[in-house]
Amino acid sequence: MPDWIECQLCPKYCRIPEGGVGDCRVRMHLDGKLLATTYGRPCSVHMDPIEKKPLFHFLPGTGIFSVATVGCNLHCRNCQNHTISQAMPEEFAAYEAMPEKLVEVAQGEGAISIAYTYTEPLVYYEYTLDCAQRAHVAGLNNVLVSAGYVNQKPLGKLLPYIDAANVDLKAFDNEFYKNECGATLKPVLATLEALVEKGVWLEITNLLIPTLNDHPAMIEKMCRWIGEHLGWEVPLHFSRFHPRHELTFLPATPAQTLEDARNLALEVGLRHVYVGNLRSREGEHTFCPSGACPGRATPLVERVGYQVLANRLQDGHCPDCGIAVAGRWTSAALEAV
Amino acid sequence: MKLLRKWSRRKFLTTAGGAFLVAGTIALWPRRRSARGPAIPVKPWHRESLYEEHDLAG
Ligand SMILES: [Zn+2]
Repeated sequence: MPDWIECQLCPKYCRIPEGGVGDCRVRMHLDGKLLATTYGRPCSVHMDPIEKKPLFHFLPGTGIFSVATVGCNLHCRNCQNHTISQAMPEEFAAYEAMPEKLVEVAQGEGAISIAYTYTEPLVYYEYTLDCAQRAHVAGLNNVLVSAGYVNQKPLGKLLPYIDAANVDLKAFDNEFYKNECGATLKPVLATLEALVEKGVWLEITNLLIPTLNDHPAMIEKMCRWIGEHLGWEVPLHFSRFHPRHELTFLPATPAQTLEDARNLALEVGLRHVYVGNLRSREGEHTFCPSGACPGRATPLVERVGYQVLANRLQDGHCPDCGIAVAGRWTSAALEAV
Repeated sequence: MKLLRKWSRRKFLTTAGGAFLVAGTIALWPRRRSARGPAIPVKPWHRESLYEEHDLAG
């Protein structure tokens, strides 16, 4: 007689026997129940600049209270956070922070937003959902930083409480997802479409790994898909790979690869394309998207690393031509501070 | 020893090699979708999953 429970949170549909855990390591079958074992037990709690998520068009220059528990349903061979993402709950010291406490601490730190980040917020789903609901009641914004590998039903229930998201689109290639991450591409694309459809502010990160996902044809295809399915205003961040975890035999991404990818994406028609994990002359700033703008050579938002040096936007509009720049530039919570 | 002497060197190596291969295959066989965790009790902070299906096969 089978005695498994099927977890229906993500497309892996793990069938978990009594005493076992799912592929994410944090959803466990105990005493006939499927349990979220990291609920209220974050392993990382930190104030970050929102630019680190990265979100460039969402409340720039603000601090965001960032939280994670262990666990992930992907197993990327380059994972920067593999010590926590690939850990078992009992392998890692955790804080005690039930949702009410987490929101309280975030407010105490002066944050106007909470990010569910570092590992995979969708595998500690119940915690993310409860925290996000409480945060909204308290007037805080919620940000999801995720790989987007989740089923549509749970995602749909969470999205009303999510204000912005950065989704890591790892490559525009199912083989890459299979070989390098232990996942598939299609559910991630469905997540991206759902976020836009539900009005969540979306930015996308694409980490370019030499020889694995840096082919210009793949990048071009991805950019076209983003523009056509999600909108040409969705910001795209090309991020620099550093040799980590199981991919230490590859070199860091050459700066030129990232600048070339940015130029290609702009040529395809995406309006806001950035370069991350690298100092870049133009790839860190936000420029006016209007080709006719007299001030388009001067950044609207000037950044170095995670720091905003200057912000010329006036209520989300370009001061030189008056065009509205896509993003969420002000917040009720921000004005109340 | 008598048995071992009866065997040719090649036969011995083939058998040992075969055993090694079988052991290696078992050790490296792709992990099942779920691993058995340590026997831990339900903790007060654990929450029931919102998305699951118990086996219907009975
Ligand atoms: Zn302008």
